[in-house]
Amino acid sequence: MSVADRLTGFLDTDQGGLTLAQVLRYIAVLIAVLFVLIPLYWMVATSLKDAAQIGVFPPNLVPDPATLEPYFEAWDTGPWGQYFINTVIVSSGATIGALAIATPAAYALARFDFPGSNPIYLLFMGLLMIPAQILLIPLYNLLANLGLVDTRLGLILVYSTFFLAFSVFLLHSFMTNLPESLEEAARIGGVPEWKIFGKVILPLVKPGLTATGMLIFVFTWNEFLFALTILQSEELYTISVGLQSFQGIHGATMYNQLFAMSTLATLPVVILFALFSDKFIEGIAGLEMQ
Amino acid sequence: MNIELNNITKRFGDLVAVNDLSMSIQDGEFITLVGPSGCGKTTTLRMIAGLETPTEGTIEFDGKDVTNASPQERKIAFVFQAYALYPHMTARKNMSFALEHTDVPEDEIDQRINEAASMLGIEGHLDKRPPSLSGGQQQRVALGRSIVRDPEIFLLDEPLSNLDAKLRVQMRAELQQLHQEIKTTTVYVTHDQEEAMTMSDRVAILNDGKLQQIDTPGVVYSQPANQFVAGFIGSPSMNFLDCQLDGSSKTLRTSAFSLQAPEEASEDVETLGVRPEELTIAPSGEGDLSAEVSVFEQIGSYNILYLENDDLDEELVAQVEGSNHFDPGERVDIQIDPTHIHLFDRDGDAVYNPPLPSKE
Repeated sequence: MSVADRLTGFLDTDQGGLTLAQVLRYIAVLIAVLFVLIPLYWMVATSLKDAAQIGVFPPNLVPDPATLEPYFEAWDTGPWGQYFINTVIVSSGATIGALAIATPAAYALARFDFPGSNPIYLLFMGLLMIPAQILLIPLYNLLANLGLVDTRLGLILVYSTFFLAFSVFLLHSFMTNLPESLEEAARIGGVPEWKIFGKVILPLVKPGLTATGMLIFVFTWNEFLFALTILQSEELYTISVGLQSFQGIHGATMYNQLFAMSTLATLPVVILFALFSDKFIEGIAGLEMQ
Repeated sequence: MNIELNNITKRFGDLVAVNDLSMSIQDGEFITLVGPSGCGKTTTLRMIAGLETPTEGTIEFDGKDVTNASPQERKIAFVFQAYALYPHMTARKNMSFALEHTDVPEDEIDQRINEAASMLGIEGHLDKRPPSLSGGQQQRVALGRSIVRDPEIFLLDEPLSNLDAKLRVQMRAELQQLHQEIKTTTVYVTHDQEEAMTMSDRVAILNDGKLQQIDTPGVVYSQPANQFVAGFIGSPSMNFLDCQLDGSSKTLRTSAFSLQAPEEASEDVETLGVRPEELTIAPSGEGDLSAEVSVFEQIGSYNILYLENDDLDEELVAQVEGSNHFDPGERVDIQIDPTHIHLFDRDGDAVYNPPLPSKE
């Protein structure tokens, strides 16, 4: 069979082939996937190259030889273990902090018609439109007044505050999607409000909480600007700040070492998505259905 | 428990959902609120439950004003249209959840759940979660959740509307049986007049937020208070024809035929109502009017004819015995029994209804 025949058969819908629109769609998806995967591949490939392979032209697409040496060398340049621990603490703290405040707030705004509920919700929506850079100096001054500059707690508070409006917006959407009759049934039965929230609402918005939590965690894991501004002591650095300082140490940037640490920094996020991808997709799908 | 609704009105902004509704429901009675979508029946039920507060008027339970009492203070149980079962809890947990906050001991909760499950035939499903139950089983769990609370009033909001036709008929009978066993005051909302007629001690028909009539199924069918009730209750619906009364000869004249008017008929009669089963097929040339069969619907135990007459603007519907078969285009003679007609004035109020059929 010739290539032309194969292509004709491929496009022939009567024979179970694909339509032209489907082929174009698959090509578009492929381009989008490559757009994401190529930088990732380049990061991992460079992290496995020795110093001699860096900066050669044309670049080696495949490391030859592949070596883990850049990982060991990079690890010795700074307290990377501490950076990881700091990042886990800050990202987890920010995620828990934002969700702990946003969840009851979203429930109240979604379900209780109290005076000012709509303006408050609109205020949250308005906060979403403020660029982070505008908040940088006021938040720094606030933390300085509270004595929280150069502390992990300070950064956690900033992240929690910054992601509060975002979390309220997402969780509000999930909660308005739940039938009110669930709460009414419990209310008629005399179930206290706190238990309705804890035992009926929270379990049902778990996919929404997971999706929102994962988005906050990933954003804060990668966040650089606030971390660089607020954290000044090296032992408090998060990975993103550590990567930046890593460039400075050597004068000339050792890209294989930088990418080795970047690859390690990406791993927890990849593992997180691998573990919770079902819940994340369920949560995002729940949003899309509205 | 007796329920008294005194001139209750409910407004949502400019929309009047319930308009000056008064009604007395006796202890142990099964009453159905029926009407088309948007007639205010669910709003009325929600006001009885305490899920909505009336804009005007009062609600009394056994003479005690509960207008502003919270739902949990009213000792009611509410079965929602979509059941409102907690999907993450087992059927057993769904039934016990509300009782866990009361002083009912744990072993008594278990006992109540087992009794209700046995009554409803769901003993084998208590450890399953709602998504793995069929519609009928979910419906039973929702009923069980209400029963175990031992309420003084049952409120049911279109509980059968999500079930298929066969299961709906089965559950209808089960609900009646359940009510006979527990004898709790029950207010049932439906838009299905057949459900209302078959299940209730009394039927309240609502339209546009107003009570049209409240009486036993037999009375609302045979003696509708107005044209709306006459048209809403009964399937197929009552035929309505424009008519005039000739006072001197006491004759009702339509554009196609005339009938002897009943003694009670007054000058302001404008509409003649005849139920499809009161239109009978007469031997050729002996009917009150001749008509052509436009559609023939074979139901089985009875059949339905859609009839057209050149002198009538309206299509007539007749219900005939299952043994009678007709073809579209066939001409038939129709006879109308003047003792079984209904007459309405220009406001649609009934001015004449036939007497109630006597029990034999």
